[in-house]
Amino acid sequence: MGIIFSVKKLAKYFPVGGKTLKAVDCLTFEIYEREVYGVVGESGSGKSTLGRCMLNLVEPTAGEVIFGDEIMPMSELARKSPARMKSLRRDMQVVFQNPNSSFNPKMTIGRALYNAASFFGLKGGGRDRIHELLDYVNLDRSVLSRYSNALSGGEMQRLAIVRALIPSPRFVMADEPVSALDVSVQAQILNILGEMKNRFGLTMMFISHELTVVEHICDRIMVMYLGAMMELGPVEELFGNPLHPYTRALLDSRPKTSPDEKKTREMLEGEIPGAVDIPAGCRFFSRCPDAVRECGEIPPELYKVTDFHFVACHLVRDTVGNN
Amino acid sequence: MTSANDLISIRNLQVSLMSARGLVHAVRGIDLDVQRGEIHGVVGESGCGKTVTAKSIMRLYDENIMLSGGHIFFEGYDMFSLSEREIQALRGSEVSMIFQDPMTALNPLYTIGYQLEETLTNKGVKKMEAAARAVKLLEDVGVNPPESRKSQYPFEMSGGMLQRVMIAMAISCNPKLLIADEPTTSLDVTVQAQILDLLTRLRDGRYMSILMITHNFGIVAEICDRVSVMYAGGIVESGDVREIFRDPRHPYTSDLIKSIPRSGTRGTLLATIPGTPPDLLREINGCAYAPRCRYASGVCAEAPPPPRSISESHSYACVRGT
Ligand SMILES: Nc1ncnc2c1ncn2[C@@H]1O[C@H](COP(=O)(O)OP(=O)(O)OP(=O)(O)O)[C@@H](O)[C@H]1O
Ligand SMILES: Nc1ncnc2c1ncn2[C@@H]1O[C@H](COP(=O)(O)OP(=O)(O)OP(=O)(O)O)[C@@H](O)[C@H]1O
Ligand code: SF4
Ligand SMILES: [Mg+2]
Ligand SMILES: [Mg+2]
Repeated sequence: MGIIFSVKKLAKYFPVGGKTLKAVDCLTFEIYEREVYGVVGESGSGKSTLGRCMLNLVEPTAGEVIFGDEIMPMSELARKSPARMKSLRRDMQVVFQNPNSSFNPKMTIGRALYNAASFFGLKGGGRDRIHELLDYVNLDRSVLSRYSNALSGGEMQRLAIVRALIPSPRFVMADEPVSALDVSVQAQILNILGEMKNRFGLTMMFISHELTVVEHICDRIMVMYLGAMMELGPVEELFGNPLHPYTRALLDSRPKTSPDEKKTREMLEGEIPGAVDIPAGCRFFSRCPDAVRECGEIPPELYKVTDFHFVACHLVRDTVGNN
Repeated sequence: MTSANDLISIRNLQVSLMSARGLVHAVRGIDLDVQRGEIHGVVGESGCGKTVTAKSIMRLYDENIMLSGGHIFFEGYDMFSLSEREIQALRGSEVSMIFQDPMTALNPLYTIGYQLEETLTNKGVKKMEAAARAVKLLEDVGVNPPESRKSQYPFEMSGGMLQRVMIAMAISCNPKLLIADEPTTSLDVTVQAQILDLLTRLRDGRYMSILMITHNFGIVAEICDRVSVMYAGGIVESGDVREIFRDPRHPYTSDLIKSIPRSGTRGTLLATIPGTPPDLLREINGCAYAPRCRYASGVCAEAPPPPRSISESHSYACVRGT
């Protein structure tokens, strides 16, 4: 398995009112080619900030991101090379929660898509490619002459996918792509996103706060809390054998899928605190039902449970030992 | 036909709204009963008329809303025959409502203690007593410690805490019915679980009825006793939550349940519903779901399907037999 993304000790801090907000704090992980890498966590855990750093949209405070041949933050020299910047933009594309805000309301959909195609210098202005992609997402070509305000949320999200796929990217980041959609529309978009990986030979990162959605579509999942990784593992393992108290709490707080389901729920108290004044010990300490004394003092390392399963919790050390 | 156990009975409610595009027939003749002490879910996708239905019960109408027909009986009384003054008296003390975004319902310039006490004094509670009751209410809904939380402003509180404050205000005068319109949609799952737990405990402790409006079938499964499924301004299926999950009869209900991702759907294609909901500006003659329904035949588009009951506690509106 090749590595497409390598994120090393990445941090992004924001100054707020004389203090430091640590939105992303020393994250290290890799994304393999052709996988769907999921990132879950509550609101404010730093998922979008991480995504923006990886897409070269914001400058990290520390650490680096390696994508193919490029190292970000990029050198002055690299930044001045239009060819390199363009190839980076071609290779990494993004789909956001709210597609309407990323389409110009004064421009027809066709104009917007053809502009994107010509930016990347597609043959014949990209006509064939755009038609092929519209067929793929099951949209009639008549949308090309319409404006974004006349289209539904589901149609706009398909168009955002079309636009992202125009330059044949190697990597697509989807940040809450179905969170604003109705259930039946969400299913259509999830089906498209789920097939994309194989159909176009892509790698994807899928950011969401919804565990069922992430479980449905991802291969590996990273659970984040207050800018840091709590647990990382293949879907089956993370859902079948969750080891971090926060992962367990997230799984427990999912509503039932059927009224007949028996549930022994351990309810998590409190809410995610702000990312300023992050405590000295484990970030989850203030809400953790299993915390012991050292948790408030020493931050847990990331322990390796199996080759692919990692957990940042002191309690896990005692079961897997130090390695 | 309303029964004594029904706290509220809606009969053939029809509501239209004037929009820029013309008259929207948002609610098209619905029947709905909420029994005493039950949590009744209203589930459906965006724009199907859930909020308009809820607001009709509270008679919280904007100028552009026109009630075009039907009745709402509250403990047997026809609410549409009440004057605005009588409705005013009912709001809060008999029926109250909470919304998705608590921030919009609270005044940012006053402390939450002040606003809570004001709700009470408006209902005739003495000032001294209101202060004490406010503290007790905050404690009941888990806003701790209540004494110091009282002096906080809305912007100083998290979304989950604000929703608790809204719940405290809504239950302050012991209403018999609490209407909750998507109360957890903007909250994190862990906080959603807390709020759902709180609502269930309040129902148990106060024997209050809750009309739970949501687009999330998981929430229905979690806390509702009965559910009504809405589509394009109508109720297509209604009844006991367990029965409906085990044996959904209306094609829309079963299509919707099948489109939800869950454990075991990984790597599979989710069921989807072709097409889009009908334009609510238009007349709908037959079943509103017919254009999207895989079972639809000629008769479906001709006349509205009559409601069928398959048990005391389960009915649906579809021409397909049992
Ligand atoms: N430009 C900024 N300036 C200051 N603080 C910021 C900025 N962008 C993000 N933050 C803060 O960083 C933290 C992480 O935010 P981020 O948007 O990455 O979280 P998220 O996990 O994507 O949350 P959500 O699920 O709500 O989208 C939050 O506390 C947020 O308020
Ligand atoms: N003030 C209004 N003016 C014009 N049309 C309205 C107004 N409020 C609602 N509508 C229309 O009435 C219909 C029903 O709206 P309603 O808000 O009840 O839907 P809902 O089921 O609550 O949807 P959601 O899940 O998005 O909250 C929709 O088609 C909507 O566009
Ligand atoms: S390290 Fe301690 S506080 Fe952190 S998750 Fe584990 S048990 Fe809880
Ligand atoms: Mg985000
Ligand atoms: Mg609504």
